[in-house]
Amino acid sequence: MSEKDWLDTATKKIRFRPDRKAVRRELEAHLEDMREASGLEEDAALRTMGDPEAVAEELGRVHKPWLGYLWRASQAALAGAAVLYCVMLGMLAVRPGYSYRVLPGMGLYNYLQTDVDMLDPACVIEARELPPGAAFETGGYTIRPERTVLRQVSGTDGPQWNLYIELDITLSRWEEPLDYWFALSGVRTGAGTPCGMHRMSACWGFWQKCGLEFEGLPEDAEWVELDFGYGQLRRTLHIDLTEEAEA
Amino acid sequence: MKEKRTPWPRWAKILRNLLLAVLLGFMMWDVWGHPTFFYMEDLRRRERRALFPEPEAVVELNTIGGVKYRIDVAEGMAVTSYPLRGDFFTNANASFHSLEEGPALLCVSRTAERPDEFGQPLTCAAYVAVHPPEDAAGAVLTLSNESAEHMVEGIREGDVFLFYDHEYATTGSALHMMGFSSYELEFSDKDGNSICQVSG
Repeated sequence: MSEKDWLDTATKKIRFRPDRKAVRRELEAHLEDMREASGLEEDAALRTMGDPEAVAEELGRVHKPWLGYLWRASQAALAGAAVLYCVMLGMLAVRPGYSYRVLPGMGLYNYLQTDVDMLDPACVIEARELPPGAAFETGGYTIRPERTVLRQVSGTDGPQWNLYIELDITLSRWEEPLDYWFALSGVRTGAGTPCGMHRMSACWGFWQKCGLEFEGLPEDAEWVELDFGYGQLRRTLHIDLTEEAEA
Repeated sequence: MKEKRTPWPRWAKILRNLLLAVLLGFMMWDVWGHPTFFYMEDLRRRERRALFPEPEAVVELNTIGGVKYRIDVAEGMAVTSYPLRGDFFTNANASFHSLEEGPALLCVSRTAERPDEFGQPLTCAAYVAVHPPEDAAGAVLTLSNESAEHMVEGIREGDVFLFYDHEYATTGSALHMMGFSSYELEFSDKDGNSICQVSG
């Protein structure tokens, strides 16, 4: 039996080809080393290595093919995902309005640099910081009022009172921000409803910050209540506007 | 001499590759704007984001093209939606309707489809009256403009009344409604006595 035949027979039961090649190379090197060290002829060296059929049985038992196939599949999955990701980035890069998404960290940067207070400080005549109100949870969102400011601003029809509320919202699902257009289900004041509202929001990951500016608050209003959600998810944020609350 | 690096065991390589593939998958989903892949998933997400609770009533209508039109009703809010094919995934084309206390009329924005007496599909404009009075057994919708008045009998389906208008049925009811300047919705009890009227 030639060395090639011996190696072919000994490795024939290894079903995963890359393993078969690697084991064959190893056996070949081992044979080479043995012949160099002991000076044996090829036949003698092969006899020393043992019965190739018995070696094949043992190697076939040790080298299970499924782990190799799984490895190949994982490589294919990784390569496929990498190609798809590159294609997707290319498509987004040329799509108007979406190109910013391809830059890693852009979402976080936007979140950090977004100022949810839209009011120009120059038009503020007077500002009073109020206790922000109690945090509450509903529908998987934890809504924490961070700042509440009652401020008199110069408007087109003369000075008016605005109420600014800054909310810090923790989300239970990734990038699923509160849709404040619809989630804010009602606004009441002790003396009528404020006439207008501006809103600004920024979200990244599990965090959202939101600024609400209620314009034209009635001067005699002693409190404001904001309803969030509908049905059993409805929660009310009560804000006391009196001087005592400020103190 | 440079020491030879011990190769990673195969299971570790598999785990590494799979983790990297999952990470890339997440990054793809992230840059693509977090699609939900399915209509119902998208609808549920929109409802969750609006703090819309589990609906008290759900109505499904057949509309042209075999598209199901869905109306979810809860206290203070109703959501109308239908599946809409997006770039790669099916989204929910959803509209939110604020509801006051008492009955309210919603327009179905797609042309509805109902089988006629021979089982053939018949197109019609459809309206839905939500939050009807509890003891309402019948409902009549009267659509009117300067020159004409048109009445449609309502069909009770669970907690809502459906109105199918075959006569003016060339388009969805949101457009259909534009031909009328006002509507009146009248509910009656099982003896035919009027118990509630809503107009708009």
